[in-house]
Parts: sequence; structure tokens; C-alpha cells
Amino acid sequence: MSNKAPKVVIELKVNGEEHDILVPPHLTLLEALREKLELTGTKEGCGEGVCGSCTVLMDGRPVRSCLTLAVEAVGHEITTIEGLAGPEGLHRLQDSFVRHGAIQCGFCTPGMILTAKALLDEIPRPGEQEAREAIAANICRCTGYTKIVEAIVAAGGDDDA
Amino acid sequence: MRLPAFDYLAPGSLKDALEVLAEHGSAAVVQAGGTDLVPRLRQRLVRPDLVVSLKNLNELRGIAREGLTLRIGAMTTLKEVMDHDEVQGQFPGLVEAMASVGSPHIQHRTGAIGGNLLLGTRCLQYNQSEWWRSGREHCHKDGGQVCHVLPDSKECSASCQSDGAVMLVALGAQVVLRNVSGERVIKIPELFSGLGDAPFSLTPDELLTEIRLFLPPPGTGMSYRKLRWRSSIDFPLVSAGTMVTLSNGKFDRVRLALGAVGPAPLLVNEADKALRGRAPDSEAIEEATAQAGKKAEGSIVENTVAPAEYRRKMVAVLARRALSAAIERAR
Repeated sequence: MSNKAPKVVIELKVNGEEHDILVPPHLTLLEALREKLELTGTKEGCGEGVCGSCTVLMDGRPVRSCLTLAVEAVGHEITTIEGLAGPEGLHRLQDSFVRHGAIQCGFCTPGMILTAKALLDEIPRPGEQEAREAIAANICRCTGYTKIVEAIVAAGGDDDA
Repeated sequence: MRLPAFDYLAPGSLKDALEVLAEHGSAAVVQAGGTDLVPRLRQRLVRPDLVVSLKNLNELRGIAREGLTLRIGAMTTLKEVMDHDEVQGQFPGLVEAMASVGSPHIQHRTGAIGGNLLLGTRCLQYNQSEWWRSGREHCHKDGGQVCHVLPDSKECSASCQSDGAVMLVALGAQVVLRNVSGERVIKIPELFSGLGDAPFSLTPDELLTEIRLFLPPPGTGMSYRKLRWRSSIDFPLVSAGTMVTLSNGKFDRVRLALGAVGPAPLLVNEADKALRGRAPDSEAIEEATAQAGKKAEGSIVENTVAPAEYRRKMVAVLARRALSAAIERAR
């Protein structure tokens, strides 16, 4: 039974678009996004919920896509890093990350930015402490976090982020 | 690493879910939020034929007051528990425990209080990939006959590292277990078997549906304190949850529970005996915390990233921090 679990058709709403995809029940949301929808901005780091690089937004709140089965994401609005920039260009968080040099290898960046997006939606002008707490579950092995925190705080300010 | 293949069902009602469990028994595993289950699937620590998701069971969500009882549905998310007015007002220790689980990524949607309570027991020698574990004989919890922590032991010594379980034991909470033929209500310590490799007394056809808390009397304070390396994500290396009631400036009742010190949360009855009727001064607290340290000493084993010797010393420290904060709130 277990090796032949039938695939199921699910409807995933990602970045405002609805997609019908055929998945086996054991496919994670991360795998569905990367392999079925070719949204490879979402990264797999540890694969066990520890590092935060696979973070996507589900109904506006950050979740670990490696810990979420694709079938469990049905009925929720998913936002990936590809869905952040608008027609007028980069989202102000993306712009702020670029300006502050908050990116080195870039692997943690999609998860960092989406986690920060959820923070700004809740607290529009976060302080340093709030920014640090928000990204406490996202690991970056390059930057030492300082520039990431600066970028998030600046993106929350109203002047030139 | 892919997850192993399994069938998946998401029943639409509690009745349907219980029937599925009655039919499939131990071939099925229940998924609440999945934050504990998915890594265990990935590491091939569990290989179910069927995963039964509780995501559609809205009847298991929400918090309701009934007289002096607060009923929390097992699928209520950690965030919903933390944000609830009555929980914040009456059970600040539970808010602290929930806030210390994982991170906001885990608390707000996927992490459910019932799943946290039923977190699998953990061990540094067990919660590893299949490849890592394949390098040597399988341990008790992994279907083998040895323990890599205590080589002479015939039993598994994996630890309960659930934050919620420890605090709920300190609160004297109860849980409701349901199966197709009815329900039973038990105190949380009875939910734990004391065995590392089969930690719960829940039968394969039973579902934990509800947690019941009893409103504390006036003069009660509570708190939860947790030792870990990283300020998020990490499981506790040692933790302490406590609820104290003061009456006329003296201890009337003390419940102190410890986590990550054995296969079940450890209730330190000695603390109640040592403190009852005494003023909450530092001498009394030192005595109680020393008893906690002594009680946990033997059951703390070398199974986390922190040395057992250090954790043994930190038990009294965590107990003192928890008691001091609870006393402050009780005043």
C-alpha cells in the first residue's frame, strides 16, 4: 500500500495564481513549489525546520515549507519570494537588502525577506530588537546578521530605505 | 531526502477520524501540525502506511470557558493559545511555554497544542538520519536491543522535551482521549507511560481531543523557564514549569515540574512538602530547588547536545528561576 500511494490533484494558490498540480501525498510544499511550479527561489537548507531558508508565507504568516505537506497547503494563499516584487520593481524590503549589503551568498535571503515581510505587516516600523526576534529562527552563515537587521529596520522606516 | 511514501487522509469530522483510526490502528500516524512528524518521517524514524491529518477538524480548535474550567481544543495553534485573553490573564506560565516552542514560524499555524503535548521523546543517538543510524546497531527505540547512551540498559532513556507537557503537568491539567466507543479523561501525568520508546499511554485508536485547565485560586503565580543554546527552535536541555499559590504570605501549594530529565515530565512533589506553610524567602527556595536537582540527577543522561553533568547542575538553577518568577506574580 505505502509504495503505491495514489497521487492526488490539488489546487495551490501561489503568488495570486491558482495551479492544479498532481502530487503524491508525501511531497512537501517546498518540493511542490520548486519541482512542480519551478519556483526555485525557495531554498532547501536543513530539511528539518531548523534553518528557515525554506520559509514561505501562508496566509501572510511565515511557515517552513519543508515541514508542510503540499496537500496541507490547499486552501491557503502561498507567497514565495517570486511574488514579492510588483510591476514597479523590487519590494522595499528587497531594495533595502540590496542597498544595505544584507546579502552575501543569498541562500538564506528569500526566507529572511519573507519572514521580515510578515514582521512589517504586523509591526510597520520595527525596532532592532523586534527585527532580531523576528529572524531568530532564520540562520545566515555569511553576514553576521548586522546588515540584515539594518536592512529590515530601514525598510520599516518611511524615508529612503 | 524525500519523505517515504504514504497514503493520506484528512477526515472532515471527528467521528470519521476516529473510525479511520479504529480501522487502521498502528499502521496509521496522526498529524496535527506536522512539525514533529515530518522530520521523523524524513529520518525514517516512523514509516506509516497512512497519515491521518486533523487539519479539517474544526471541532478540535478553539478555547472555551466552562465554569472554572478552560477547555482548549487539541488542534488550537500555539499562537492562538498565547494570544487568548483568558490564557494571558490566568495562565501566563502557559503563554511562556508556548512562546518558547520552535519559533513564530511554527507557533502560528502548524504548531498545535495537542501535537506539542504528544511530541515524541528525543535522544541525540536516535533523532538522526537513517544513514547516520545505519553505522551501528539499532537502539531500543529504533527497533533494536541496545542503548547507545547507557550501554547496560535494557530500557530506552529518550527524554520528553515538550515545553507544553511540562507546564501542563505543573498546572495540574487533564486531557480528553477519544475513540469510537467513547472518551476518557485523565490527568496529564497518566498520559505518560514512563518508557522512552513508547512514551504515551494513548492506544493507537485514540485521539487526544482536548486539554482542560482549572482556573487557579487567587494568590497564584506561575512561570516556565527553559535552557537552550539558541533562542529559538532548540528543544529544552532542561526546563522547569511551576505554579505556586501563596496565602497570607506563605506557600499554600507548590507544583514544580521538570522537562528533558527523563521520558516523562518529572513532578517534584518534594518541593511542595519542603515549601508548604513557609514564607517565600531565599532559604526556602534554595531547599526546594536542591530537592529538584537531587530528584532529577539520576534520570538525566548523556542524550542532548549539552553534557549531562552540566544539565544536572542547571536543574536547580532553572527551578529557582521559575519559582522566583512565579512567586513574584503570586504577590
